[in-house]
Amino acid sequence: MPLWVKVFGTALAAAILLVVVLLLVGGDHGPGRHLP
Amino acid sequence: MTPGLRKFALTAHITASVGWLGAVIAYLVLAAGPVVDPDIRVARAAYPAMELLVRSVIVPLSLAALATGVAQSLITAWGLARHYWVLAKLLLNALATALLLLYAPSIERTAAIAAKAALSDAEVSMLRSPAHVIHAGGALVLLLAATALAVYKPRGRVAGLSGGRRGPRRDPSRAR
Repeated sequence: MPLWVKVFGTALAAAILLVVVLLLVGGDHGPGRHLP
Repeated sequence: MTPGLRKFALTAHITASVGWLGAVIAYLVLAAGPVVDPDIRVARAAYPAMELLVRSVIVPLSLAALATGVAQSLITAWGLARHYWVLAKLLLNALATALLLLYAPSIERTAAIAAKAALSDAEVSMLRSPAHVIHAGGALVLLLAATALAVYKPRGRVAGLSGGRRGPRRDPSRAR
């Protein structure tokens, strides 16, 4: 497997993990968090 | 697949993909307006335009780019899962489209608030939030990465699905 695939795969996996964590745990992370 | 039809499919994919990229750049500029300009009229003007851009341009072009990309890979010798760069581009497009569909309702809510006659302090703070700039910036990074993959076509065949053979460097869609 080429090195660029490993780097790309790691970065993409980290991005997906971040999105999943934000969606599941973070609640409203958008601008709506300013509203009461 | 005739060369003429193959060129047409490629043109459709490039048009949808580059159009999506351009629309995201326009969206990013609109999103930055309310953050850098304290005049609330900027936010009142920007958010309805952003909502219209997402609904009428960005979502349709994202779906078109994904569909034409899958079609493009299936009708050419590249295949959908033979080369890492094609697979990587498919993952990027699918991820960007999924995030966009999840994100779209939030800009609709923000545009509805921007249209209200009277705004509370919390709502003004919400309209000046950089959240939309961050989302658009992330989308831009994903789309630039997908564009770079399409242009550079880095080496590497998917082992197991293609037997792991090292193919020629040239574009197989141009094979005669």
